[in-house]
Amino acid sequence: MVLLQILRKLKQKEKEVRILMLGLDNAGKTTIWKKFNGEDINTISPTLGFNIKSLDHNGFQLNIWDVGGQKSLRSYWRNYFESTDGLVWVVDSADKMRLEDCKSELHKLLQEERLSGATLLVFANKCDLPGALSAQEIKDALNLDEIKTHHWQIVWCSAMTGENLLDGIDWMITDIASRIFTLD
Amino acid sequence: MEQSERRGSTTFIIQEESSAGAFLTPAVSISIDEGDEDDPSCPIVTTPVNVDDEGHPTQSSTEAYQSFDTVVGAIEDVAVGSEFQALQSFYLSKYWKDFEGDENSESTHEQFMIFQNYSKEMAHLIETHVKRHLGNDFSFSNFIERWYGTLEEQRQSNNSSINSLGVHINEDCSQEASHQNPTHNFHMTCEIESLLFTLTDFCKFKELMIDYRKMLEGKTPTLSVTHQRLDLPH
Ligand SMILES: Nc1nc2c(ncn2[C@@H]2O[C@H](COP(=O)(O)OP(=O)(O)OP(=O)(O)O)[C@@H](O)[C@H]2O)c(=O)[nH]1
Ligand SMILES: [Mg+2]
Repeated sequence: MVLLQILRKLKQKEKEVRILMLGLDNAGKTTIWKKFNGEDINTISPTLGFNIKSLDHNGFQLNIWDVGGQKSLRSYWRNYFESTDGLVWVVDSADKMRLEDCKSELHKLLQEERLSGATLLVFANKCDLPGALSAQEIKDALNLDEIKTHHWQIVWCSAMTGENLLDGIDWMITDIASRIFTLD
Repeated sequence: MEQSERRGSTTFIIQEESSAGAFLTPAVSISIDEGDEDDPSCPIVTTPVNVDDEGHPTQSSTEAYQSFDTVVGAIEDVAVGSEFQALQSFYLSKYWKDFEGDENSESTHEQFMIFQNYSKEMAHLIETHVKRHLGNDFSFSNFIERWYGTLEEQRQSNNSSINSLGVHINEDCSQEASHQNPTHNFHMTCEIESLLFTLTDFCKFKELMIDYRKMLEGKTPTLSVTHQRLDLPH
């Protein structure tokens, strides 16, 4: 659809950045999303569909999509790939049992054609929990060093305390901006 | 001046004036279907047409902008037309039940798929209609890029903060009233601007659905009372 493609391209020129947040269920995606929106994070239930919000940040309009990650719902993820500038992969750093699953889902996404131009930010979330793995350990467990196709970064963070969330997003926006918005 | 010809229609390649440097696309091709040139029923052209060395018609820059009004007009036509209204009504009446809650509540995957279909069908309708009126050579891409160039210029001349680069459709619309520069006398009306962006903005679509639902539900209590009464045994 020519018209739609053009309108999307136009939005890019408007400094609109589309961020897609994915990850296994219970990783903390919605908690992070609500934290960004300044909403209450104490009454969050598992996401069956998705949440979307536009935020103004540093002169950019961020459209942040938070899509539920339960196994049976992951086949819907592909509906949201289109025009993604940044992929945020959220990991529960204390969930050692599911790191293998987490790794394979992430690497599957990275092969997606429609995500090929996206910057990858890995949020190693729940760092406030006593048993949480370090960012280095998560990086190794997810084989991040293998990724050559995308710009990526891993950030140790906590949606509960808000620690490092902004740093992660700011790195991502800077990376996206340097690729997409050429300053004149 | 470039020129090309198609049978049964007149095609103008409109060359951008150098003063409009902010426009991103140098040339826009617009075809205007005027019927067969030999057709006696074809209306006589009363506006003066400049002719180049080879006797082909040329367009001045002013006329180029008038042609943009034609494009906007064509989009406006389709937006108020019955096909468009019917398609929108179809979506509203078929799917409003799928839009529970308010703008901030979680959205469902079904809602998003409804939006994707809506967006595709609406865009197709607009494209088809505009091409039917302006010829198949008409390029949306050039048109919208150029429209964007004008918005961008407006922004720069009304320059405030970096934030003004964000999508604030309402602001742009309010600026439009004060926009008198004759060099850019084509402009998109507010409704067309939001209509076009609605096609790519799920939140706008969701709002539309929820508003429709609220409107219907405003009437529902009366209807259900009537219904209950009718159900009472005589
Ligand atoms: N201690 C701690 N708990 C967290 C943190 N982030 C999220 N949680 C908790 O983890 C649970 C799951 O969080 P959600 O935000 O619902 O997870 P999700 O990734 O959105 O899950 P799905 O919607 O099912 O995909 C909730 O009970 C949160 O309170 C964190 O940084 N620290
Ligand atoms: Mg969730």
